[in-house]
Amino acid sequence: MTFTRRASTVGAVATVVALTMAACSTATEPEPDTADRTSATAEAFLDTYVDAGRVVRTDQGGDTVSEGQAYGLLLAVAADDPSRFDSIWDWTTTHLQRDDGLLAWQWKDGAVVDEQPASDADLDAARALVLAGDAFDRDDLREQGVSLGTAVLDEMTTETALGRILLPGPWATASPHAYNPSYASPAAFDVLSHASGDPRWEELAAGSEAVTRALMDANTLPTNWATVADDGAVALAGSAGGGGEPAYGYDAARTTVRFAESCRDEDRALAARVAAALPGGAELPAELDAGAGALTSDRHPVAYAARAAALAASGRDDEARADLQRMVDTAASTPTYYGAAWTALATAMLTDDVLDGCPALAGDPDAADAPDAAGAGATTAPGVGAASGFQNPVTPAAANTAPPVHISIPAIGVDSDLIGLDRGADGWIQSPRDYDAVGWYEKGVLPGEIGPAVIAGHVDSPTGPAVFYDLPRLTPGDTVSVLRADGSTADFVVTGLQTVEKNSFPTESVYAPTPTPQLRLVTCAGAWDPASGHYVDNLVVTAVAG
Amino acid sequence: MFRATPSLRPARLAAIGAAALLTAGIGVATAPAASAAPTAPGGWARVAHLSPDTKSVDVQLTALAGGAVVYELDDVAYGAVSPYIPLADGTYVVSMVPSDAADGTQPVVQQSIDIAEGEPLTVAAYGRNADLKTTVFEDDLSAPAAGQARVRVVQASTVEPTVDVDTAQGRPIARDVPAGSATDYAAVPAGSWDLELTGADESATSAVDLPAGSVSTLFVLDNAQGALTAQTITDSATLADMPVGGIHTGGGGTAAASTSAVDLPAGAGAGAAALALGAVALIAVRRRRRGEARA
Repeated sequence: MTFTRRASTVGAVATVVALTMAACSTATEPEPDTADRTSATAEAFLDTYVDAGRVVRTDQGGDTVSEGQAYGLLLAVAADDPSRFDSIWDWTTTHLQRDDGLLAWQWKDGAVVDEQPASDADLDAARALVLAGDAFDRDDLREQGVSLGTAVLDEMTTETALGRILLPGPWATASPHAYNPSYASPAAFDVLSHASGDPRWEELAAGSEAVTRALMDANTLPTNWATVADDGAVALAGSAGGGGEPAYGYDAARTTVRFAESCRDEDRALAARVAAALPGGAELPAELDAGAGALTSDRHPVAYAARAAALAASGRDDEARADLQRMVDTAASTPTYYGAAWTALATAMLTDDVLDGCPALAGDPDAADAPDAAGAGATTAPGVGAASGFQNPVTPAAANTAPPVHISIPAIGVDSDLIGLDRGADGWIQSPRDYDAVGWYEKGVLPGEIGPAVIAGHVDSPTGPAVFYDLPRLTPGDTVSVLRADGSTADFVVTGLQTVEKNSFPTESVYAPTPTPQLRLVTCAGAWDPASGHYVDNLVVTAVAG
Repeated sequence: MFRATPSLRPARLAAIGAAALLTAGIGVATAPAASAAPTAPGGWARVAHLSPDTKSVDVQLTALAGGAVVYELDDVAYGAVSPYIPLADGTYVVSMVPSDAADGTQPVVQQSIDIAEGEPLTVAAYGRNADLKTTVFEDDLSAPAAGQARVRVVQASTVEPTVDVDTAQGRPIARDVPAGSATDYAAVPAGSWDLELTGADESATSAVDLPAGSVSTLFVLDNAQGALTAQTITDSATLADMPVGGIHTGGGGTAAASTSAVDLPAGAGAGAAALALGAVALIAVRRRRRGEARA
């Protein structure tokens, strides 16, 4: 597919230049090949989120986590960018690496704020170091990768009846161990096994598969958190601490991607099982409960990446590619650190062998193209949605001239017929003669048509409260409904109240033109002036079509 | 002792909120998330489908900040212009996808827009499908002078590269308007007008109603026969006959310092003829002004 950029903006409209998942050069070439696409998405992440070697979570408070540094390292390998790799690794060793070689997980405002390591980050970083050592012919990096991996094995793995498992951190040594299925990375285990010869990597691969299988036997959707006891008993968990409801969310989605890129059949089989458990459709909720019920209407690239991985592992390649496209589109329209990272990682892991996994969608030139959605403000796709020929334009709805006949404001118990109001010779809108009548200004705007329609009622009579006495009690969100003579109803939502002095009534602002149907509900307010026999102020309630 | 783990990531932010709201057609306003907000946002945008040989599209507006889909419209057909959508300041992506497209079909159009209070926009897809373009027009919704209306022309015909618009009485509205452009707004006396659209080969007339206080855009389009046509969309409107002052809507019966003075509704108790009403109103004005002087 070819995207042609034909942005044209009129006047001084600023167009945004935001992150896109593609460099412009690839987006305008027909059918970029897999390596170009992998490199482009990786570079897009690095260009946007890496600042002098630090991967900045720009949308999460500007902090840095070891996970982000590790993603940056993997993506620098995917982008074949040794200088960027060095700067990210230099920053990591300078600011995050502890005496034992593991990486403190969180840094903010110039200092480490949590020294605990997180095993997914250290594992990804170790994999990246080994791959970089090979790709950039750098034995020093390879050695550091093996060393980091050994520290992971020493401090963040343990043996259970199901085999060796990856602990989320050194803090999880007590049984039942907190367990995060998405931290295990079979491809990383293999990379490090080959590089180090340490037999514990094979044990870890087997144990991770066994634990994940046991968890998926209990519940097909992998959850963000679980527990694994030394005796092999597994349970779903709602959080690292065990509290809350088990859920399939931003963590768990990674499990499927990581198992789908494994070179082991049994791992890919687990990824494939997820496909049947996930809901279908274009709008995939980013978080599901353990039974696959939506926990949110939010969407996120990593959720589409996960379903793409599950479908690819199931051999449903076309559907997988559709999800990869949704992943790319979502990331392009909604740039986030985590979304951009996983869009690039899933592209590399599922369609390319640059990270030394076994990509489930390798070698297909028709995989998802990245739109340059925000690059120049606009893209068009000529040929998409072509009709068979010219069409007649739809006719706009004719203006409705039916007058309003009744108003309901449930929040304050107003339920009244409407009468027409005119202007007096002084130019003021005349109020209803009957203190309990509500009127609309007939030379203004019809309620329900475009513009600010004026409706007025008395706050009180000479003896007591009148129909709009409770108007000041309206709050934003309250509803107003106007019935019109043709039986149609115009509904409004209150957005604000203001008090204005009658004598200096700001008609230019209160009755300023509006592009949608709106109401101005008017009554009296302020001090009573016995000399004039009037209140000094008007209360004006603004309501908009809702 | 339990630490905050890396996975207690407080915010995997900015997922896209899937709007569950669907509408039957463009004339039916979707309740945008924004309209339920307690305070009305100050920005406005609308979307126009002006490509004569492009099928109906579904339109989606996504906020870059926060990532929520803030608006969806289904089945926006050729010639349709959406209602203005209230939007908070920020950057949004407008995408249009063929309504009948399979899942995963790429958008026909994606356009980023920057929304700011007081700078309303119209996002338009125009041109023939094989040469589809998008553009963003800056709109001016401000009030016309008393008794007047304002109108401009958006030229979206694909059969005529430029079009003239004149009233049937020969008053020029716009000259040589190139395709894909919008003219400035012209002030015209309020009323009904027959407008002549003239291109090099095609011409047409269009009857338009331009009420006092209204601001409108005349969209020049093609019809199924490849001839010119046009339709008028109201951009904004205010009170046709603008009042002065406020409205006397109280009798004082609940005022704290009420002296049981009577705030007579104009003409109340007179049961009266127009002349009498006018007299009462005049008296009321004078009383009010004295009160003002003391206050």
